[in-house]
Amino acid sequence: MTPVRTRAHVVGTSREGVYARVTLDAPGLPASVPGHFVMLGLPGRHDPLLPRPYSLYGRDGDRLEVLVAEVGKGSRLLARLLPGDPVDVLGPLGTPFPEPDGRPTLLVAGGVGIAPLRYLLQAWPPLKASSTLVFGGRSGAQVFVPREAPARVLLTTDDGSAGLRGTALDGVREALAGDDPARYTMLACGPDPMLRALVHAWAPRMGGLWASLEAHMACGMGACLGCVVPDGRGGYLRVCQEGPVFGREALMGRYRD
Amino acid sequence: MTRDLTPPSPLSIDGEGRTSGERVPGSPNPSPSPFMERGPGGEVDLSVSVGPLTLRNPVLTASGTFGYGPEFEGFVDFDRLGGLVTKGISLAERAGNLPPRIVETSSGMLNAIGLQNVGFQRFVTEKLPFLERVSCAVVANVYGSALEDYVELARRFQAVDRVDAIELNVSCPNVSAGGVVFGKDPEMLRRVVAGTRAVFRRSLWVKLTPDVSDVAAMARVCHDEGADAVSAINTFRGMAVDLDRRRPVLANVFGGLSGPAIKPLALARVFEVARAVPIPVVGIGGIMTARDALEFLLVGASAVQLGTANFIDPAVSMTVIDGLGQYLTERGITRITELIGAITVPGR
Repeated sequence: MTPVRTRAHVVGTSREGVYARVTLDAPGLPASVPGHFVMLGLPGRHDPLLPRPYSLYGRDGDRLEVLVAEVGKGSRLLARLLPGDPVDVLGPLGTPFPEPDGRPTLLVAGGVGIAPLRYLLQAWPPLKASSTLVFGGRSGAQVFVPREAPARVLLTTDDGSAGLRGTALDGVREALAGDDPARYTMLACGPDPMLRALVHAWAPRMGGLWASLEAHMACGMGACLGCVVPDGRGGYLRVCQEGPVFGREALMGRYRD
Repeated sequence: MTRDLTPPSPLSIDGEGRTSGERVPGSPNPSPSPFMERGPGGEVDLSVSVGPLTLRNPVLTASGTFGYGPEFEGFVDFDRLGGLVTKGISLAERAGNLPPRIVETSSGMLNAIGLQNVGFQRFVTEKLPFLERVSCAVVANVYGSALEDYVELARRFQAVDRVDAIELNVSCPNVSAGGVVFGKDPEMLRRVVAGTRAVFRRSLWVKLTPDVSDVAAMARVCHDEGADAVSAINTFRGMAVDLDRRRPVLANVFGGLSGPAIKPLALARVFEVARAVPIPVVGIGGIMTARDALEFLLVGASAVQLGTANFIDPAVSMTVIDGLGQYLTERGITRITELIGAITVPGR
């Protein structure tokens, strides 16, 4: 599918924990699936200059949702847009999640990494019955139960202010307690240290494993080579093209060190 | 615009070498007005010459910001583009630098990609077929870590007819060997230009670094040794600091600064270089719009390259070409060449 660039407008923003959920009307944006991302740019400005990559949080026709954590200049501006404000959208981009393979699914989110997993739950309703969501954050404000959440949700927080005290990894251990991990497919998105720990602890034992990585990027289209991660064999993988969703083998290469 | 539907065979070696400028990219028949663009108010001629090479318009895409072309399919009409400059190509494939490789700065960005590229052989087998199907000019940016690498690459590209020009990358700030070393030392620059000139008969461009005290002096060396044009300028060496972690942001410590932040710096370099050498200058540095491009033409550039702008809008080259035609039409200028070097400096 060829991505397009289109002038979108903000429909509205709302809070989702500490995050801003931004809904855009993006006429002409081609069909997307969970794991796809878009580059969002603010027209007519040179600072911030580059568009920012966001995994889709949800999609309904021309409407798309992204989940914004305010971490820098670009995300602060994006989170504070008002209805009607213009945004340039390029997408859908990247290699998305594969179709669910029928195994029970363990969704593992760290912080704003909930975004593509919530889109999965929205786009594939059967997951609601067949999945468990583990959602970790620093404190209660960083985690929430999405509307489409499956029956079994394990929230974890570093400070114990919501759910289990601990990390998403502790949540995974709890979710799989006494069960054979080979029966499950794990779909994950979160900060790099979380993914590294997940891959080290579980990759060889899971029935299936896919994770969406985050990276700074300039173009989102495979040209700038700014978003690469090591492939474990002396080369690099572009998060924007070969990813952002990578399978077990690539993940084990990326987190080999 | 006519389109050449009979691509030359990629590796047919022409014993005599093709006379420079014989083929006009995209136009098998360079009859009276092959380059007229229909604008809203009539026809304007956007074609320019960069030495022996004629371009249908002065807009090229800069090395390292445009992949090898196909990355931008669907956004760019390669039969309207003036030309594209490939990612820097070395003899052997290069993996590039460790990440983080890019960081945004005020109205600009730093990159330290480290010339990750597929190498000459894979360029020919994997990337050239796409370029054979399109009609814009193709400029191969070439990088070596030693003098012999540049000469060998020039020799090999001589046999690749589709490549209209090579652009010597003697200005990359992000590699440990070669690159900018050749662009900062006039004697080394002399040797690399002379060595490649001896084996490459089509257009030879040299991409200059701004990180020298006198860019014009470097351009003179290029001219003396027979270069057909100079591209001015590459990125400025810069650095970003992560205050709280007390570390450089980029794994490579230094990166090349590009984007609108450098446009005034680039204009000054192009102005100086254009006055110093009789060969054409290809202007580069923070161009985002047609007006930016026209400013570079005014100070003496014969063509321009868009770099960072491609990351912000993959179709920006088309927008800039449209804008050039519109500017000329609105002002009743029939040929864009009338604007090259047309700046007047009161009192000088």
